[in-house]
Amino acid sequence: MSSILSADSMGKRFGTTVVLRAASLRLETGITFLVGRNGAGKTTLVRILVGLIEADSGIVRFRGEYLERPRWAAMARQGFSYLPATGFLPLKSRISTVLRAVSRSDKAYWHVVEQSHLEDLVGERIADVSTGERKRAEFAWLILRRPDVLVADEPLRDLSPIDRGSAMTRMRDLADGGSAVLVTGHEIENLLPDADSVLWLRDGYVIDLGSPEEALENPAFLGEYLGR
Amino acid sequence: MAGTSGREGRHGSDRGVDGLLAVIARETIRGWLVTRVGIWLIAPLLLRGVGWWLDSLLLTGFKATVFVALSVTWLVDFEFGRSRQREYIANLGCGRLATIGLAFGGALVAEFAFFWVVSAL
Repeated sequence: MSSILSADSMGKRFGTTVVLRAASLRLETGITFLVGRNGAGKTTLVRILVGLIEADSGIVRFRGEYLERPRWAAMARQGFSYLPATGFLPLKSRISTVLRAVSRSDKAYWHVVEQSHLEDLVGERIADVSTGERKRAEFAWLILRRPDVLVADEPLRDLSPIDRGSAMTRMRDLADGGSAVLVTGHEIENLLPDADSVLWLRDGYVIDLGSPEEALENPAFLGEYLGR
Repeated sequence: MAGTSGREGRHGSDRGVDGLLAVIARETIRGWLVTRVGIWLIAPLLLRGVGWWLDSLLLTGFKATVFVALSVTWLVDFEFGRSRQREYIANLGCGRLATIGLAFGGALVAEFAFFWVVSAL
């Protein structure tokens, strides 16, 4: 089956440090969890997929087209969204403004606002709400946008347990709606049970661990990443 | 895993270029207008009065300098600032050059519109 987004043999070094040697991945519908130790190169790989960093070698394929250097905006026009770890909604804008920009109807807007528990916050500026509320607004925006591919870099970072659960629910909603979601992070207890497949970035290569159950039976993963 | 066929092109029909342009135009021109109205209307009146505001070459130079300064500030903020305007617009599907062109094009149109209104008064 052809994947909607794939990367083949991506290589990247910073100075003398080799971060990625030949990292490959294929995204299909569902949640793919990209895991790896700090400094393993997860964010580097993600930023290469988005086009924010140029790879030294390898090629990205999106919707069947080979891209030497992907362009975020061009891919966004074809159903791609990127959720950086630092967020993407403009801090000076009100939540209602950014959500209405991607709402197809008033009904859709209010449905997602209620679903995301943002009723009392829609008039607030992004800069004035908490980290958890900001993340809820970002996922509400993504639900309205309905990307075919979402790349989310550490979306659960700095979130309380209840907000992590809410973010996972939104990502599951997207995946169940047919989106391919690539998510990075270290929140194993939240991410692993909800993932459809697990990729392990190790020594500059991506190892396909299969399902979460299969991942938890991999002795190298258990020992080297989970420390069990 | 399920495939991705049958979902092609849904974004094109969901929210087209009009929506995107509207968002960018609103986000960029709104801030510009507020600042410009303040500079063109209030500051000169406070300095000298309406006649001097219309005639002074010195003030024209001042306005031009402020306009360039504001433009550079906007550009630096867009490229390197923490407002996330650039990331947001990229997720909407508009590239950097297109956004910069649109913002300055909008500023130019607003500038001419402002002059037209002032000269008609």
